[in-house]
Amino acid sequence: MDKLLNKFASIAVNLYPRLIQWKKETGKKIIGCFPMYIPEEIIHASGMLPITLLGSDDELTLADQYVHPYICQLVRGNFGLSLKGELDFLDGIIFSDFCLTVQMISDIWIYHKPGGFYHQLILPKNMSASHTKRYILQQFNGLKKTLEKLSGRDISESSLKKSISIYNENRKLLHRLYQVRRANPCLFRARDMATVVAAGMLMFKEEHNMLLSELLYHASKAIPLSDGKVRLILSGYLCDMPELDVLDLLEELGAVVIDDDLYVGRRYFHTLTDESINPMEALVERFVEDVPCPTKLNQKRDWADYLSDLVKEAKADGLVSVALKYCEAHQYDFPVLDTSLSQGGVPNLMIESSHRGATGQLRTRIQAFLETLGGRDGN
Amino acid sequence: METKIRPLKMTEKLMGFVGKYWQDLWENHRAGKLVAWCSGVSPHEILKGFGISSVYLEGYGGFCSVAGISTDLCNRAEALGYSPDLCSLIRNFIGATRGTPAPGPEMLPFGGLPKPDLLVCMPYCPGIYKIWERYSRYLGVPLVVIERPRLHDALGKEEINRIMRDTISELQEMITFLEAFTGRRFDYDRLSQSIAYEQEASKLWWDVVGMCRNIPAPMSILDAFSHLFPFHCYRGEPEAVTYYRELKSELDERVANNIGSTIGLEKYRLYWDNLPIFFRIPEHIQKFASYGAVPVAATFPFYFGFPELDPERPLESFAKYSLFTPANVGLQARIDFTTKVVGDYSIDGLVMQRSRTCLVVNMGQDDILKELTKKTGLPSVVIEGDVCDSRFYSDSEVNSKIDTFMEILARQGQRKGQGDDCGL
Repeated sequence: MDKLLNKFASIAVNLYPRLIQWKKETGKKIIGCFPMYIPEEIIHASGMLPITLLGSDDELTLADQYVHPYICQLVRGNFGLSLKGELDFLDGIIFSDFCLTVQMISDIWIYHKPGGFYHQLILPKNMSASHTKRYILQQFNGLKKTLEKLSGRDISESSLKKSISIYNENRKLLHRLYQVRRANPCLFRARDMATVVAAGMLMFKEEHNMLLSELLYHASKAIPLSDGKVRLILSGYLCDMPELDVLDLLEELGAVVIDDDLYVGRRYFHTLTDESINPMEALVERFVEDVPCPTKLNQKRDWADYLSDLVKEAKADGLVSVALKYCEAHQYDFPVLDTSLSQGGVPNLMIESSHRGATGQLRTRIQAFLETLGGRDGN
Repeated sequence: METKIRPLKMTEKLMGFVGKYWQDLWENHRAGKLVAWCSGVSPHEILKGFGISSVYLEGYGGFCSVAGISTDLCNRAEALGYSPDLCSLIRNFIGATRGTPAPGPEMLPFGGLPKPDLLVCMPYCPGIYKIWERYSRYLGVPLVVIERPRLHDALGKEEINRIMRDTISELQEMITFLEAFTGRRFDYDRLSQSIAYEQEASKLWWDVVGMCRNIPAPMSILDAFSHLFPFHCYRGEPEAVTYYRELKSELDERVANNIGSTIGLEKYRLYWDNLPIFFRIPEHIQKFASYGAVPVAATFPFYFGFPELDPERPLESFAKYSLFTPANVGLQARIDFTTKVVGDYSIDGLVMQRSRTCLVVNMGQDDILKELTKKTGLPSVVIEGDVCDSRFYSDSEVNSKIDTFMEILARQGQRKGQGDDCGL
């Protein structure tokens, strides 16, 4: 199983050189999806490979010449990679207006890298208006049209349904893997789960599904490991790769992540697309009905309620929520989340990350939190 | 030696004018009339059509900043757990309305804000809709949301037309909702009248701002930032028309008599980028004036008003107003607009304010500066500041940067040097 996990990790960590080689070998087109909310199934159905642009941890990037430092690392990192030419292998990039920083960077990006294929999804903020689904459908239809032009082939209803089915299969496999993790949490390290999910964002789902099936086969045969550790839900990093050394730190300090609410985690695969209705409408439904997100307004479920339920279902001892520095939407929810979770009896720790990894301050805060939960160093 | 600033008579009238609005607002509230809290970009004119008074969050932040209490209010929001990285206008508002410890009405401008019956927003920045969503639950009042997509540079005509149609349709939905909410039929005539007032006030305001093209400029553009406040209060009302007519008349007289905003030569004409630092406006006017420099142009004043409003097509023209403002366009369009402003006002130097907590205006500013420098060759200075939070501002640092910048300008030589020293 370790060999397999290493394979996922190498795909997730080595990001682009592998893809450049793959493109040379297959002659297929690759489309970069700026996180998040890009309906990848449409790209997949056009025969092109959708990949998620997971940024870069480089603290100083070329982007600093053109954007001030008070924006999130995901945007700065991705923009820096673009300026360095490291994303030139992409055949197109799709942005969505789900967050203000991404909304603003798209014009700046195109200004600096003109001539490429870009598409802008203008998604509504309000999820409960009478026009919400119509707007999203218009946008998804517009995307479909431009992808047909770029790929040179029509995206038929049946090909889209097939892609949706492949993506749903991927989600179901990940759900199963997460169930195994809940039952036997010490089987996987948190970094393993992040790289397993991240790898799927960088390859065709068919291939990822095969790897996942193999992983599940090995995992289901593994002997349950007793832990005695503090069982945590990790939430946050809402559109970005979690910092792997922060995940390691949690474990080093005596916790085990038994489930998560991470973008490169459960948030990415949580909601299945309805295969019984019109495929474009089904993608719209998925967007509207997906897990609560602080970038959306008037959702049916409150994020704190969703997290509270997740903690109860997974029988977790507490929750750690990580907001990326300068992620405004998340930061606006922080005080409310903290209050709601605490009132609901969910022990929680809210931390802010500036992609500086497992700093001493972070260690102290996590250690103190775990002690309150009766962790390794507690009473 | 302190340079004499020639104050505008209208500046003396300003606070009385604004104060009257708030007094009326409180009286209306006490009399049981409806009040809406809005984001700045909101269809205030439609609310007026239902007799609903509107106040807006960003405008109130400006008042608090001028009053020198905004940093304290931001602190009270941070005590609730809000990050200091978040927009200071929003933190100021949270501090004023829900902050801990709660500020007393005597501390707040105009005694604070009357409780709203309704919240309205066009979600152009996360702070606005996140806070309104929370307040809607907390206060138990409805929230009306009108989408406001950004008009990216790459959008085609067809897409922009679609956005226009959708916005108009959402405005119609808002009217239907408000009819049910208020139990009143919407008065379209009143909306047209309101749009007509707004159009007139817009024309006057853009004329006023345009008069700073004159050499010497009859007022500093930093002064103009203060004279925006009637727009914050009297959107779509005759009072705004009266105010800007009087302001224009005073400036007309100055222009006719070649009278500038300071006593002495107007040696250097400056462009000010980004938002005002409301809590330091008089100090900045004085600082620049000490070098014979006057900031005469900015893009921010053009975020207010829309002379193309059409009372015959009120919803359509309001949709244009909210979408086509320079604050809602792509980078290339912002560069083009800023270049035009700099070109129109005979500028000698660029002052690029970087408002620490405003993402919307900051992003792209570096490219705008690079383009302006490339096209005009003008010297520039970047100063760090913030619209409301004085902790992101340092007098000594900014003054020192301005000193150095003015030395550079002086070395390049006086460009226009017109003005007067005829006394007050």
